[in-house]
Amino acid sequence: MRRPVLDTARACFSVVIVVLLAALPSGCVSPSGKLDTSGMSFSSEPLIGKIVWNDLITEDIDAARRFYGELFGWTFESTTRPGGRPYTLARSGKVYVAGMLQVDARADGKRLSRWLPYVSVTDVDSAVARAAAAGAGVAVGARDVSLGRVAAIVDPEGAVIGLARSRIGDPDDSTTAPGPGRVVWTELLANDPQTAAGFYRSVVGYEVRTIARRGGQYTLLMNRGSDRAGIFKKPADEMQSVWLTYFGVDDPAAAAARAQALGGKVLLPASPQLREGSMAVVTDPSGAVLVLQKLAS
Amino acid sequence: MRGIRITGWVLLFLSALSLSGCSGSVGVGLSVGVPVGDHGYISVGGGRWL
Repeated sequence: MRRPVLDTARACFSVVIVVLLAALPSGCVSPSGKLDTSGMSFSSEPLIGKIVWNDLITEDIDAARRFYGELFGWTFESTTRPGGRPYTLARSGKVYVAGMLQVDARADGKRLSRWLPYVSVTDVDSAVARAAAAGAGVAVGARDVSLGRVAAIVDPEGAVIGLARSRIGDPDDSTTAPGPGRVVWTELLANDPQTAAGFYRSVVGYEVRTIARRGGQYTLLMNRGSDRAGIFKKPADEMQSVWLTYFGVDDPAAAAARAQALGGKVLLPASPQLREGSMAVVTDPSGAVLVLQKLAS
Repeated sequence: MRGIRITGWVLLFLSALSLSGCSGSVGVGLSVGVPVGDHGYISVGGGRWL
């Protein structure tokens, strides 16, 4: 004779075991090993307009690992991308902060190494379509990856940015809080900031706010009251419009010197004339530009 | 009956897998082969960073 209470208890126990068995590996397995995201938390809703990921595209992955490991104290995990190609994940403490992938050098010698930010959008495919209609190029068409659905576009001025819609929500603001070696800001240097702002408003859905700063106009790209990125007129006409990724440091001058000692190059040293000494612009050994931003004390 | 029960457990397992919320979904890795241009010009106009 069966006992209902015992059957119910046994069923509940089995459910718990099954859920635990499922949760353990999915928590955190990359194609090549364990991927521990327990130090990160994700929003339940997409954080539209937020830069939710950054990839380093580099022509020398070994030099990049040495450089960023020494400069920011990052640790690395080797994974694979779809198709089995190598992909390195970088961690700062318990948080995954970036990815790194190697690309082959071009035969014509033109450099490819860059930091590529990914902005959260509601729908990648429709954002790509809006971008193309507004004069952008499509560097990589929409496709599914481990994060979710992504694409990369070349905006009408030639700056490259990624679009992303995560499957599990975006890293929340506590996960991406400023800190040493963390991405703290993303900024577009544009020839025509107002036109560029209009483009990103239509593609991403940003709210645009222009403020007076240091004798000029600085444009903030916002969503739901949060500043997500900035735009200002590029300081030199000869410069290619570019999205710049800012990393937090305690001392920009010291960090720039360290970057140079590690094989990078200082493009703009920290100086009182450059935002009151709060930043320096450097490249890593393969030429990718990054900004070293002094953290607020 | 046994087949139905096994199918049920498999479905439960897959549901838990998809809802566990810790699916290791970080990283993108698109190969974007767009030349970056000459970044040397960034060194020009350091006093014009707003």
